[in-house]
Amino acid sequence: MVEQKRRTLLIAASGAISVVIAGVVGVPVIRAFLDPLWRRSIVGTDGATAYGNISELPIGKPVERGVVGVIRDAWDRSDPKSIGALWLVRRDAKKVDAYSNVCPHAACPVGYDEKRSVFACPCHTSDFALADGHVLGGPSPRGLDSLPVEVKPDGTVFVTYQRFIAGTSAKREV
Amino acid sequence: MKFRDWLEDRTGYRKIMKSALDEPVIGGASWAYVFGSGLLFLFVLQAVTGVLMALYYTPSSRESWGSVYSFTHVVPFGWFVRGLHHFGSSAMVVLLVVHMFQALLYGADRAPRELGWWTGVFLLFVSLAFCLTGYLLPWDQKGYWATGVVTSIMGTLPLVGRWIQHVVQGGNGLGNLTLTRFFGFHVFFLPTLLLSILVAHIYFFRRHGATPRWSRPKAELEAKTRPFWPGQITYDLAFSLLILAGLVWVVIAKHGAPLDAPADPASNYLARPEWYFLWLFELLKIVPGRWEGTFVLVFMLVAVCFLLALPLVDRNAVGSPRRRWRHLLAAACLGGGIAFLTFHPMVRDASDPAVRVQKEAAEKDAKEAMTLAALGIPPGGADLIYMNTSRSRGAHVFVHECQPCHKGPDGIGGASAPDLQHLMTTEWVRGLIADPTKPEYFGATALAGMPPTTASPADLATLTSYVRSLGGRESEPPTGKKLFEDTGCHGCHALSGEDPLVGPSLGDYGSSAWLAGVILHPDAAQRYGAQSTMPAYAGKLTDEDVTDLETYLLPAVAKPAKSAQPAQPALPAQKEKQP
Repeated sequence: MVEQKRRTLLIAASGAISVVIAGVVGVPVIRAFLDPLWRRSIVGTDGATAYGNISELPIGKPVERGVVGVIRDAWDRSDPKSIGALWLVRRDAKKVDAYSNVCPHAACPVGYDEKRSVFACPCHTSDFALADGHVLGGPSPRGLDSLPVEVKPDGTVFVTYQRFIAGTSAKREV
Repeated sequence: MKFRDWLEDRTGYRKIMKSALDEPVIGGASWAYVFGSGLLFLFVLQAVTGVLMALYYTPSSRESWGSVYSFTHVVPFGWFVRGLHHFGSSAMVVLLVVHMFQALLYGADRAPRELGWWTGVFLLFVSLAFCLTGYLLPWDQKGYWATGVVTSIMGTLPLVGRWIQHVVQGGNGLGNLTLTRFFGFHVFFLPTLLLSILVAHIYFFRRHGATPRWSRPKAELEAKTRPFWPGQITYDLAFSLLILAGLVWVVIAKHGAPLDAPADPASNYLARPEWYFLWLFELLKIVPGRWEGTFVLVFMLVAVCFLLALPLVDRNAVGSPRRRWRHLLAAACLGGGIAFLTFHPMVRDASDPAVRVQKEAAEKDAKEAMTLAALGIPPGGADLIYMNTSRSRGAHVFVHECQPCHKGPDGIGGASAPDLQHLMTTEWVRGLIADPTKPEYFGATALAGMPPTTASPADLATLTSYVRSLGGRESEPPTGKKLFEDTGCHGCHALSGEDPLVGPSLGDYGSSAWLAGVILHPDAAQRYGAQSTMPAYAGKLTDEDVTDLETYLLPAVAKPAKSAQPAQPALPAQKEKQP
């Protein structure tokens, strides 16, 4: 009887100790393992970058510009390098629109079809309007992603480059 | 119960569980038997924390430090997990020694348990190999320099030393191939080796059972024998919990494992091995350099042979330590000698001011490195984080170009030129006007001609304010210029827009343009003239170098926000986690 009681006590103790050990080690280990869920490990240049003067852009005809930026990948910081491309469309004397060249459907690079005057994605033939980037045809769930533009009084065009999640109708930053 | 029957049918697990758990423990559960299980727990802990760290680690001389930095300071609980791994390795060494002494005392090395003892001796050396390969991996100052000492000692072995050193290093020096080798051994080869020997060790232990205390009569042992589960297991778990509690306490008290500044082959870091190799380092002090490798090898071989031979020599039929005192004394001498040689240098270093200064400098470097690393590790590698800010670049230039003659902001440097520690502060300027011939000003230089001032303290204060106002450090006092003329300063020192006089022109004194002028052309007529013996840095330092020096030397007032910016475009800093 005493022996049986002692046995029960020992089993309970060993179970309790195992739980404590597993918790003290397990919680930090699992939290650290799952950390990527709460962190943007890869980030690019923030803020606006100059893309030349508005006077250099033709009105109504898109011009593609490379984006040079600094990437931070976990602990690393790159030297400035090519990280993407964007389309600039000058509308009038003072207004410029900018679009990411990443197709919102499956992240292919979107080109400009001069014959038809539309933005065209070569991968799955999505077409986007030159006027405002909305979907004219094809599988893309949303129009081209516009980027924040600011034209300074001296005519310098500043664009903030951003990346968005592809494949959804909502435009959300990566 | 159906599932269990199905499982039993397919696997036969009940028999395995039974043999694992119902193993009889001779004489019943005992605290004397917990050490082996404690070591097993530590091994599992090292494996779990090690695998997690491997998920955040890159073995490369440019990347390793950054990856360890990021795991320690950015990943939540990273500092804690790395701390458990770091101090867990020390706990393992301690417990291994305790386990071996307990086994010796109880006579568990003797027939028929020799194989258990021998495999245990191998496990000790495999564990030390883990330690040796582990601490290089962060590629910080400590790992780099301590490993350099070890591989150099290997290189002193006669005939084959150079080859061995090259193979271990993966080349003619410490670099990427050293890291990949040490990493590969640490995470693939050694764990496999340890696990294989461990299986054999546990098998041999199971075959002959635990060794009960020599004084217990046979009848009592037999009467009290119980299965492994649940008695001994509970003792083992309780002991493991005690170890874990101790580890958690140390990890929290020490804020995790230390991480020094990135490895810098150009620094004068004081290399000290981890504590478990200190005795060897101490022993080597009595050995002439070229024989170090041979000495270590012979010493290790003798120690291994001694440990392996113990059960062969100790053939006494009685297990009591009294009858076996010679063997125990020999083992105690070996252990005691090693313990003495471990503690002796610790105590000596603790009371050595030179060591303390070096240690504090290393800690300061490490702290600065963490701040700079938060801006990102540059593509050139972790040691280039010092190029991350203008101030840190300035410090770098200062150390190489100015420090031989001038003391800098941290009070370190030569004394043959003015002390720049408090450059352009009110105290510094007042002291300069009061007596420029003091050694901390121009006393040790070839410049002479300006006598100590005879102005009253009130006038001295006004003059100080006036001189500081020339470089825009404070607003001009109303009577400043008049006093400057009345006390005769203007007789030697020209002001803005005037031709240079005998002494340095003070028109922009203390501004960044003035400092740049002094650095680039100290011998110009409007600076210190032909009397100056300071080398002119025009053509040697770039404009950026000079700007960086200004950021480092001049108080922030003169250089607003601009130069405090990081060298690269501003980026969102990763969330910083400090333990």
